This record gives sequence, C-alpha cells and structure tokens, in this order.
Amino acid sequence: MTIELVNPCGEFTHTEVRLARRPGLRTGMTVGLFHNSKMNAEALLEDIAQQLGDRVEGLKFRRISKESSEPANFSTGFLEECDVVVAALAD
Amino acid sequence: MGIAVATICTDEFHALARAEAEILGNPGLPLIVVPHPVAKLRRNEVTALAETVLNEVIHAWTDDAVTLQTEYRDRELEQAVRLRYHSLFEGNYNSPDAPATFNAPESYDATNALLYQRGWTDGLPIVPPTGDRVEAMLGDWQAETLLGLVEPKLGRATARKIAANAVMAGAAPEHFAILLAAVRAIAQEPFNLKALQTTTHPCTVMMLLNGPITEAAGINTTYNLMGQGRLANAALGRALRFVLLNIGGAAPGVLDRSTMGTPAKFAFCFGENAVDSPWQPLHVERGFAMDESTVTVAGVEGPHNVNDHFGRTAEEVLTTVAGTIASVGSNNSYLGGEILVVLGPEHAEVIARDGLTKTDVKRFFLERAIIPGHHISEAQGQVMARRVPDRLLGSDWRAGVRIISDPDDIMLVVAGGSGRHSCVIPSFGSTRSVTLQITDAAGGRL
Repeated sequence: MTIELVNPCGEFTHTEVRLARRPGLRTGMTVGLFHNSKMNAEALLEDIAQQLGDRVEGLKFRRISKESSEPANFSTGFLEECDVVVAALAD
Repeated sequence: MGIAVATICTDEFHALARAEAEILGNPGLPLIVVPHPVAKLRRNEVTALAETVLNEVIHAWTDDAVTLQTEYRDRELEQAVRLRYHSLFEGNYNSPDAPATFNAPESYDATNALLYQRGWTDGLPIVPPTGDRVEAMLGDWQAETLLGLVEPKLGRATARKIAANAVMAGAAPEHFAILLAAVRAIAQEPFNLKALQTTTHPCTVMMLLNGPITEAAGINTTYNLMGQGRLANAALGRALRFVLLNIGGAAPGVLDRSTMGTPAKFAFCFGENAVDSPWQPLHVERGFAMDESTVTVAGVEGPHNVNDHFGRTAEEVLTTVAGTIASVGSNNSYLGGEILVVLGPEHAEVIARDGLTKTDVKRFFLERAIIPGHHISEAQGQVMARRVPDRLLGSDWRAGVRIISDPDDIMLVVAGGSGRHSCVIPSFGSTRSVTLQITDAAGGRL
C-alpha cells in the first residue's frame, strides 16, 4: 500500500545556454583577470598573466575583483574590453 | 554573444561551482579544478600552481565551444560519491518536469526513511505532506500564488510548495501567513540569499516577529524564546529551513557549504517582547503601525550571550554588551553590515531608567564597540584597513577598530524573560534584514 504525498521541492524552469565562442589566444589580445578576493587568488592570476605574457607577445591585461560575499559588478566596461577572461575563485 | 571565460576553482568547491553553472543553464562551463586550499599556499607554490593550470586555461579559450561544453559537462566530479551528487536537475524530484505528487509507503516509519534518504529533512522525522494536510495548510490561499524564487537553485516558491514544507515541519495553519511573508522577504535582493545559502559562514535565516500576530500565533517572546518548547517558534523556524533546503536546494555539503553550521539552522524564530520594552518595537521603528504584524528576516549566526549581573547604570550594562559585540572573529569585523542586539527586559530597564533612547544606545555602540588592536592579526588588520578604513581609530588597526560604521548598523530589540542576560547576534555581513507586513489571504491585517 502507498500514500500520495505532495512533492516539497521547488518548481524549476531550466534552459541550457551555449558556451560563448572561443577566440583562442593571439598577439595583442586583452586578457581579463577576475578574482574574488580570497587569499592567493590575485597572486595566482598575476603568475598566470606573467606566464601567458612569456608565451604570447603583446598581450594586455585588465583586472577586476569582487568581495567573496557579494555579487560582482561588471558595469565598469571590463567585459567589453576583454577578449578572454580567466577567473580565480580560490579559497 | 558572451565572452570566453576559464574559471579556476578548488576541488572542495567544484560541486558548488558546477551546480551554479548548471542552475544558470550552463552545465558545461569550463571549470579548471585545483587542489584545495589555495589560501594556505606559499608564494612559490602559487607560481607552481599557475604553471600547472596554464595549458588548460588556454585550452578553455581555444577549443570549439560545443566540444568544450560536452567535455566539461561529462567530466565526473571527484567528490561525486561522497556528495551523492551528479546533476541537480536529472532523475530526481527537483527537475523541471518533476511530478507534483509522488507515492510513498503507507507506513509512517518507511515514509520517513524515504524522505530522509532523499535529503528532504533536517534529520528528524517529519509529518508526511499528504494532499489533505497541504490543503488544510493552504486555507484561503491560492495554491499557485508565487511568493518568490529561492536561491541558489531559483526554485519557484508557490504557496502549495511552501505549504508542503510547512506540513513536514509540523506547523499549523495559523502559522502559514507568517511563513509566506518570510519567503517573500528572503527573496528580496538586499537580503543576498544566494550568498547566505552557499557560504562557508555558519549563518541561518532568523525570523523576528512583531505586532499582534505574536500573541495570535502563539509565538514565544519571553523565557527561553530562542530555545525549545513552543510549537510556533520551533515549527516556523523549521518550516523556513525546509523551504531553504527543498525549494532553494541548499543541501549540506553540496550547495550549502557552511564549514561548521549552527544549531540555529534547525529553527530560529522568536518574537519581540513589546510588553516589557521601554521603547518602540522594531516594526514601528521601521514605519509600520503598532497594530500591524510583521516578520523581519535576517541572515545571522546563532546568538552570543551577554551576562551582566552587576551593571548599575546604562553605561555599565552597555559597556559589557559593547565588549561582546566587538568580536574579531565575526564577519562584521571586516565585511560591515548589521548586528542584532537583543536586550533582556531587565537590561533594557536599567538603560532606559538613565534616560537613553534607542538612538542613544546605537550611538554608544558606534563609539564603544571597539575591537582592541592586540586581538587583530596583521593579515586581518590589513583587510580591515582596506575594506572599512573609516572604522580605524588610529593610522592603522593597532589602535583598535570599531565594529560598526553607522548607528543604524545595529538592530535593537527587547525580548526574553526576567534575568540579567541579553544577547548579540552577528550577521553574515553582506546582507540587509528585510521587514514585511504579514497579511491574510485577502490582504487584511493580522
């Protein structure tokens, strides 16, 4: 014997989006560095930036961070200026 | 559209990062996983870590988007066994096409075992949410009314779903309007529910009730009000926890990443003791009428006691409270935000007897709730100097740091029974409490 119960979980609308186009990494591109202010996140990005610069000439870098407990604010034009972004959400 | 991002996270947070990507519709987001914790690494070890991830970062910018999406979506979580988690939306009762009802064993014990195994409880037995019980909980409320989307999973909180969770928690129909108002409140943007639900901080959502509803619904406002013993406090707090868990999807260790948790996560609901308060209650301070009922939600830790049996004056009692507020280990020490101070009626009486208003008390805390410099490490002090420079008493943290920036960072209420105790409740920091009116289904006052 069974009884019928009401499902207590939320109702969800779930649609998949496609990943953005991948442009590769080429001379003269602008690379965005984004971290969440956790310990060593910024240092990790700076090391990655240096090593990227050793591999590909003429890269430019733009930097932005957020506080770990707050949403990011991308209204500063950061995304518009970058060709690719590397995000370090370390802890 | 969009921009190619390579995201680096640690293995401990891989499940959370992947879940958030999936909730936002992108389960194949390239997540580059490194061993946890990065925070403890020495400088040369960080450099070595950068070398190990460099090729994968470039790969995530370079390979075809569809190929990448498939590659990362199909990558197994290293923690999948421990977390019993693969996809948030596949093959369970959380999927978009999940059934509205399900069949469970007729036996109470077997039903409880099933719901516990599905992760829908707090560990203790629940009341099975049968259709009849859910209908009784709904009363005059429309079942499909949407009260909000509950982060982090953005579950649609309809009155029926909330009612099912209220039944499970043991709540009674006279509690339901309070719970609905609380769910509307937690969905407000300044509350920052997503961060509250997923943080490592041991916070929960506290419900504070004001107005006639406290007596009408049987809310405890006096002795042991934050402890056990009263149905309304226990069931309402528990019901909100079930909403956060089942509709918001904050399963411990998966989306709820709290390092320690807190007993306050089982239930944290109480009312202000307006009868024994010398001042206006919180809801009147916030613009509501005395005879309106409100719920205030706050993202907070559990309460910290303030024992002061000896203070003869307002200043003496408030000095002890201020010393308890000024805790270097609280989020508020560097994130800012609100701190709730619940004065016991006897402490409040001593303070009011000396002629102090609520505003005076808050100003006292602004001036005297100071973290001593010798309690602050250099690393912590540097963060404080960067984040809350207005609070430093000297040129750096060594002279001490105020724990609030503004008198209104203190929420002040009077509650509890007799005795010389008060309590301090630090918040998550990056959150603002929300107060909403509680109404009946027709919009009338309760």
